[in-house]
Amino acid sequence: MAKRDVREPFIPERDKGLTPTIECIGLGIDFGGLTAVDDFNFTLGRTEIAGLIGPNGAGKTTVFNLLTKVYQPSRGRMLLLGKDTKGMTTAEANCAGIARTFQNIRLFKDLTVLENVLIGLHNEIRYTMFEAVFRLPRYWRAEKAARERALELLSIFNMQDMADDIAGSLPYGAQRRLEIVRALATNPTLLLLDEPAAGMNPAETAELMETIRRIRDMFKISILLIEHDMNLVMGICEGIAVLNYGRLIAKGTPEEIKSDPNVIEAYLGKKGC
Amino acid sequence: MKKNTVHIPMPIRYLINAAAIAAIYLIISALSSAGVITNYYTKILILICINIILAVSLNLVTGYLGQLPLGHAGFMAVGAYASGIFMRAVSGSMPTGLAVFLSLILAAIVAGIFGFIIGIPALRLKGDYLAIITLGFGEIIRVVLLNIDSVLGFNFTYGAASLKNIPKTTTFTLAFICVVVVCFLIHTMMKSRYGRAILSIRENEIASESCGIRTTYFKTMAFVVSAAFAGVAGSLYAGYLGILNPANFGFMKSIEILVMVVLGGMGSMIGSVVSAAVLSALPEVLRAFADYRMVAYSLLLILVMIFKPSGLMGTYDFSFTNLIGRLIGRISGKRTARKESAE
Ligand SMILES: Nc1ncnc2c1ncn2[C@@H]1O[C@H](COP(=O)(O)OP(=O)(O)OP(=O)(O)O)[C@@H](O)[C@H]1O
Ligand SMILES: [Mg+2]
Repeated sequence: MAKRDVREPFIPERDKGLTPTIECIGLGIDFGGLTAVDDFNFTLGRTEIAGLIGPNGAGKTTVFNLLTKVYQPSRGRMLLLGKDTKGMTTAEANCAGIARTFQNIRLFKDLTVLENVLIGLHNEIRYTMFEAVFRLPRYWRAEKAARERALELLSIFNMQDMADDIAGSLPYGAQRRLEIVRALATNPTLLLLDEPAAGMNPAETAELMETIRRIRDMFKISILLIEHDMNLVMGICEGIAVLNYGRLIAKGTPEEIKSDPNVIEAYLGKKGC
Repeated sequence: MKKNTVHIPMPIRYLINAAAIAAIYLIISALSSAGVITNYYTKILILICINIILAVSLNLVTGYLGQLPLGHAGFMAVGAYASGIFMRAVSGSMPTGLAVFLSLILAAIVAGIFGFIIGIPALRLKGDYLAIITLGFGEIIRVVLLNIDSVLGFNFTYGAASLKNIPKTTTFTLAFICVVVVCFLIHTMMKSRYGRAILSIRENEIASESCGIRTTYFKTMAFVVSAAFAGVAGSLYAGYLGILNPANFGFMKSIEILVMVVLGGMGSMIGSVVSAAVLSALPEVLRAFADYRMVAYSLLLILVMIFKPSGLMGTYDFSFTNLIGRLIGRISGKRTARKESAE
């Protein structure tokens, strides 16, 4: 099998004709003297589920932070649906269609589950400050519709009965799922999941895998996930990119990645060492 | 708990709340026309109203937005002087009611503008830094009010000599209406997408930003609204005292308001209302110990921080209609329980 060039785009056949969701060209960022990510070339198809893997500290979360504009890149460009994202803020990147979850959960802990999702729906809810404080009909209508939408989104994970619970009081797995629901509420074209299965048991992970696939089919979006659980990654990702020390070392289908000597070396170390 | 609550539909909720507020007002005015509440107590009641507005408006930034500004008295001062100068200028040439209404609006606008000017740089900072920079701005406002006349030769604020002869237009009715309006506006704002955006910033700014919320915009908005309402309180204060001196709006006043908010429970509107009422009434009731007020405040604050760090009410927001709903729920719940056990 010929080895793929990590600089070449790799996307599923069915997405080839469409503008890719994101296109990173030579993306890189330095923190002081440390180059956390360098020469990151990556293309994601419109309905693709892709994985970003690599050993601890490889720079995976940093890539997410670059995509969501938490950091501005030191080098390179990033196109979202063909448009350059230079100078965007995190909020603007979200409005443009990038939603994410966090490696260390960042819920609005003291608010209810429903409120968490409603905050995700913030930009979908339309009324003015005036209509809100004087409680005009449009306020009631929009709030009612938002509430229904939020419950509908929660029902993807069967969480509608928890709507009035305080988010911080949920079990760990439910908090992770709520973060995904909140991200979906922002109506994204790209969903970034940072270690969604962390801390979940195998049964929960298997269920999560099914749900991720279902979300992609329901919303017709692309999903990029970081995950250390190889069963999950190999099970649902169509394309996988492997980072090591901030550089891409391999790209390809799960089968190609599994047998790639560079990847095996990055994960297990050189033979004999 | 949830299951035993009867949900009362919206228009009825409003009616119940309106009735409760009207009842409070009628009782107080009946008492004062019967002579039970003397003129002296009416004065205290007005002061309580002013402090309630200050506390609930600061709570917007401290409790809901989760920032710690220490310059609230500065915005009150701006509102008070704007309104005082306006009232002196128009007195006699305009019906009093209209003049008072305009002075309240003017005070809110001018204080809001100051909130905007100060908020833009201050809100780039967080925590202690924000506290210190707002403290500085508050002091700047006070010092400018004190010296602007003597330095620039205006007859504007009259500095340390005090701005005198402001028409005393603040009645209990006016102060009460302002409290109701301010509480209503803050309440309805907090129950909308705007309020949720503000809360989300307190909860987790990074997550908030990643949900598409322009955090800088909403922080500034909360800060401006808070300053504008402090201006309203200042306007009432000007019409209550009839004389303004920059010394009334020092750093200690900001601290006093903050103590009210923290004691009541940050993020609890009813907490702010109750603790503002109690803390404004206490020194008047305990006149003899007035000198020890700040000592008492500090002790109280320390005790609350030790025994109930979230404040007396925590983030609990009292809802009269929910209380009624729960009562009804409990009564009918008992009835169904009895029926079930009978079957
Ligand atoms: N803001 C920052 N300032 C300085 N260094 C940073 C910053 N963010 C990340 N780094 C560094 O960049 C490198 C990559 O970190 P990153 O969090 O992206 O790793 P990761 O692949 O997500 O690892 P893990 O699997 O442990 O989550 C690390 O060496 C980290 O210390
Ligand atoms: Mg990481």
